Amino acid sequence: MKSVHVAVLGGGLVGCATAYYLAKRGASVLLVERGDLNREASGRNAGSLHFQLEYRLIRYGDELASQFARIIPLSLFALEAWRGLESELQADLEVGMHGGLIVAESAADLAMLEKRQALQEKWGLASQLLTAAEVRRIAPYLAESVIAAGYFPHEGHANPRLVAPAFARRAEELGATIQSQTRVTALMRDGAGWVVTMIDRKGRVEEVVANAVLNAAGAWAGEIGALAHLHLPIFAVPLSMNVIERAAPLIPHLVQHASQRLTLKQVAAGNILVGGGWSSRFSREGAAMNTQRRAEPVIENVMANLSLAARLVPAIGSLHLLRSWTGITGITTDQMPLLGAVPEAPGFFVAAGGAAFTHGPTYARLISELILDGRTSVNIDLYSPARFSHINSFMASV
Amino acid sequence: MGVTLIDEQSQPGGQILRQPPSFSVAHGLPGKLHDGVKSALHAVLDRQDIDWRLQSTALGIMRPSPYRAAGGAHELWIQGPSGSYLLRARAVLLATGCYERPLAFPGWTLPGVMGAGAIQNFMKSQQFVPGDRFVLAGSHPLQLVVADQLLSVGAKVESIVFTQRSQLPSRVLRHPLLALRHRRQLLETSRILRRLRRAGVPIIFGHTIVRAEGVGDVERATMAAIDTNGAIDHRRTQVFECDRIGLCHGFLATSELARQAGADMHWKDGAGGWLARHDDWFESSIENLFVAGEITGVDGADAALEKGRIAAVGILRSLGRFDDGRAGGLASAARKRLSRQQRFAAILQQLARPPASLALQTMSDDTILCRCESIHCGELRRALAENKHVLTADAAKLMTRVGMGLCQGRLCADNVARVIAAARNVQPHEVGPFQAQAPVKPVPVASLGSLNSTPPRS
Repeated sequence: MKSVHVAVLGGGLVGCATAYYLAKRGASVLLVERGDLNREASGRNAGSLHFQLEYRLIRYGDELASQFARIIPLSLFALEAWRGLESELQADLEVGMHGGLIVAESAADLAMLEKRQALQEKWGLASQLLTAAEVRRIAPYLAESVIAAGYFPHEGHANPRLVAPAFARRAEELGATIQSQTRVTALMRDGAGWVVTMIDRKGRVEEVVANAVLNAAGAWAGEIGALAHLHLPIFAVPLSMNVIERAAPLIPHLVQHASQRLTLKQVAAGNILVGGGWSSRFSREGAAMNTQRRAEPVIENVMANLSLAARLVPAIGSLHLLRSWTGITGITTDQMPLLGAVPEAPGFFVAAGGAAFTHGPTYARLISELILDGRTSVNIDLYSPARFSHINSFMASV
Repeated sequence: MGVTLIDEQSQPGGQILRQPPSFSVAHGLPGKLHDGVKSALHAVLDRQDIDWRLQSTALGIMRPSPYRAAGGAHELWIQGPSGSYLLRARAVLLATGCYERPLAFPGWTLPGVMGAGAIQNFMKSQQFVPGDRFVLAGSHPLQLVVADQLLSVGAKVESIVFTQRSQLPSRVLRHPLLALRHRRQLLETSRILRRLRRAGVPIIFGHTIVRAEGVGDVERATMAAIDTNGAIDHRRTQVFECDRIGLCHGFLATSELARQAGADMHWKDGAGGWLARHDDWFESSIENLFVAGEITGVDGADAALEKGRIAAVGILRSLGRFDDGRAGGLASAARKRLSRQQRFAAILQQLARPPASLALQTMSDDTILCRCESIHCGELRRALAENKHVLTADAAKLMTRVGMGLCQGRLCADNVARVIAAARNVQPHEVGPFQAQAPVKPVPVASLGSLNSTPPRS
């Protein structure tokens, strides 16, 4: 039976990047992807690099917001990672970090911005609160309704289409093996390793023994967990994104809204991407939601999302919506990433959930350190699957 | 049964009976063929009990939300003249037709290079001849019809070039099954051939267009011979001066709505590419989503009419208006006519298809592949060489932007699939179509503001 140091399950950004960092350290790696590389959330998200606290993290009250704010040091570490990524991978990833604005349109919005500002300061993220006039000066494309904005000069975007494939190419150059269109059907603990059983699209079955298994299956990390008889509390949620036709350079910033679901940016090709966490919908299969099929758009949400965008950036109204697309992402029960070893299952690691595009390369680097060295250069205890030991102590049977 | 008809054009009739916007139907209908289709159009044109929604585009078909209770199995996103709205329906029939299969070669995006059918549409709907000196190149006999129409309005046809080596029209004319069953079409074809010969139009066989050139607009077309193995011989060329080129390599089914809705598709080269699977009643894999016309196989207008008749009975049967016995009786004559027409269509498809490897040979690395995004064929080939895990059209789209532009891949999908299939040594259907997403056609953002779920009756 073939044997490797690490079997990485999932060919999204986290999986491809981890394969790269592991291979770079000389570990032998097998990456297995059920479909095509980068075909789910990693390649379908809108590419925001956001380091300020997202709306989803501060909308549920002050107490939770201050807990979530503890992720900021990891975000700042991720920021540095993005700065060096194009030269590290020798690839154009269309990384643009020209600043991010979280705009306010009301007194209540402004109050939220002030709270956000205070939390960010506390954890070392130096954002500024801009007045209406200051906003107008740096972002003349925004509507008159914007009365203030939280500004962080290093936010921006990268092209999700390009990042994971660049990691995959470099990983393979360093000797990693990548098998796409291959499904893992069983995980069996055998002595000091895991026997990974997989089946490719031609129906060929293969077994590989790995010292460690990394579950990088994103929204489907729960299913990979189940193969090892574990509960990983991550839920698949269907989102939608929208792309507007190419336009002359207009919006250099990542634009978000203080109290509504919006992210808006103009990419290198000139298209404007509009998203922000509006839901799409799973199709039904009997009594269950089908999380394997492409989610369907919810047209009301597409329209609301675009109306909001056109309200904030009036120039968008005269452009065409090219298409909306849907993608499925994974959200843990407590919104924090699952990043670390599962204490109940030796050699079983997880890296999923959270803001896995902005943080993806960072999860990958840190989890590769944990797998190879047993410790990480940045403390990730907060995100450890050990916080769900109260469940998995009943599940794993070592 | 309440019927709503949604069509992008300002008047019904589709491509075959495309009408001039302001002329009456009686004067607008061309040609001697398609009598059956014409009378079908006349039968419904004046009906007040059909809710006509013209100049309206179906942007997507969704399952209704569990959070907005109302009847209907499907929810359609419609863009009408006054904005965007959602429409519920118990059953939907997709009769979206087909469009011309584009061949990519150096210069194919020059102004003046167009589909032969597009030239014909100008004449039908605008009563306008879009040029003076025409060259027609392709594999489909439609180009004979277009050439004849061009001559009749005084345009000059410099040449008609067929990829087929032997004389296609005479093969069609001699086919025993056709001679027996389709006298009218064949008589019309031989009359056209006589007129073309009389006018001295050169008809060249065994050649393909390989290049269009000109400063600003097209000025000349280069044709190259095709050898016995189907390979283009670039040393044997002929050049024709012209100001318009009409391409005619067959048709692709307009399948994006069916794909967006999630219907099962299958691929049939030469018959329209990606086609919707259906049962005997033309119901797709999605309950109460019916498909008729070219989306089930490009079999021509007369066959499309019969498919529509059968699908209508199928819808009424599915909605409980007819039992199986009544439905079977009502559809039996149409089924007989359809099977006859499909035999004719199958022979025509066989005779009218270009060599399988033609597109791969005409697309040099510096040929534009995706015109919306200005992606050259070489860029895709390079991306495939560098990223060996790119196996599907969708993965290639994510990697290179092919198919991401205004046309949503309608124009490049077939050629992209052939390039990937050749690089990976698989068949084009294994590469898959592009994922179709709503809106299937671009829509102005400003028109999305006020969503009505109960639109005004037009």
